[in-house]
Amino acid sequence: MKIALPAQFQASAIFPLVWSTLGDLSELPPIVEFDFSELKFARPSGVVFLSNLSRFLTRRKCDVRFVNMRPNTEAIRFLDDALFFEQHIGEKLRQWSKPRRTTQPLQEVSHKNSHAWLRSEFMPWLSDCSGVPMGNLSDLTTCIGELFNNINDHSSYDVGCIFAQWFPKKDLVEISIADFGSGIPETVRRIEPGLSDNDAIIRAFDDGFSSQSTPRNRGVGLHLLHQNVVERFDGKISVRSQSGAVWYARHGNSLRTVPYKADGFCPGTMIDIDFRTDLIDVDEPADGLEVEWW
Amino acid sequence: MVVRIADHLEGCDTNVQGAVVRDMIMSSFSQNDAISLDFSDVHNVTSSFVNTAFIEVLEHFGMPMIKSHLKITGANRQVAKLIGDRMRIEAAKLSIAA
Repeated sequence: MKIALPAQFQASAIFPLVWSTLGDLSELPPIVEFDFSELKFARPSGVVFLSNLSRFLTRRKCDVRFVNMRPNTEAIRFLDDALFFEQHIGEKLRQWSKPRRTTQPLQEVSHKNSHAWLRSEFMPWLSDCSGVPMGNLSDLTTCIGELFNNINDHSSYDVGCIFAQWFPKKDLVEISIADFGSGIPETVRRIEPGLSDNDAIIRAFDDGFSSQSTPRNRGVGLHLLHQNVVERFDGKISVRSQSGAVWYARHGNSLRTVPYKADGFCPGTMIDIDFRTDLIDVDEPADGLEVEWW
Repeated sequence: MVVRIADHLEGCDTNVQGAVVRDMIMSSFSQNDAISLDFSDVHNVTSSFVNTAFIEVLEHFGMPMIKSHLKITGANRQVAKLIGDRMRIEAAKLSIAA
């Protein structure tokens, strides 16, 4: 089966394409060929989703092939610099390709090392790009660490990855994290049956709501993400999971939760985060505190 | 007893790492000993870590024991806030349930 990737390489454009060709991924063809000839522009969500899909197909014994990558086009160079091809076909298309200062190489979220990578690679990179000291990024480190833990708790196929891009002219960072797990709607409905996919995503962000997928879950992670990215950094969170689609942002003084109808189907969960790093508080971080019991 | 967390754990990210701290606290409390946890050089903690390390102790021994026998020092703002917030919320839930 041949899948022609769209010119705008972002997850929202790929979901309908995958749905129309591979359906819900329950039955797979022996060969899937991704055609890059139309590709013009790549966004983090597209990179992450295609990477996860490729890993998923490969682990299900499907022969995955990439064709028509023209190394002289900007989008292909971008993917090559992100080490996408090195990770998926074993070699870079151009031998001199290397990660750009404005991106982190595509990273699989293998739980064993993911938290250490976050502190030793990802956060220092973001600190370097943005000029925000590491000590002021500890809340964000926790938010992404919570998502890694969610992937570990809920992803049945051990497929998940993260990719980020820094836009220096806007002081903006865009982070995409996705897994191929059961998806938020299915997980939430184990506890609260009957919710629509969109309502289930909204429920998952409620403080204290837990799917109880492990006995120690208390349902704090997604709420913390919202508190930090939307409420503190004025950023935006966009969630796609199964047929559900919801975005969160601040509009003036109000916090908006906007469910919407989206085309296609997202296997697992994809979370896109973007925020301006110049809005992160860079006051001297407090250290040496004692936790005050009340 | 004073325990420097960074000497025992590479990070405070997971339930498994939280269980290491929980076991230290439980072991001290079961002897009626006080314990002081020093979080110097810990960049951040996750809720998974905090839930396992502290909330399970709270549920087992109660807040009065924690107040009198557990001290947490050397924390940065994120670490202090998440531990403090989580303990406050879960202690309130326990007092409502009691």
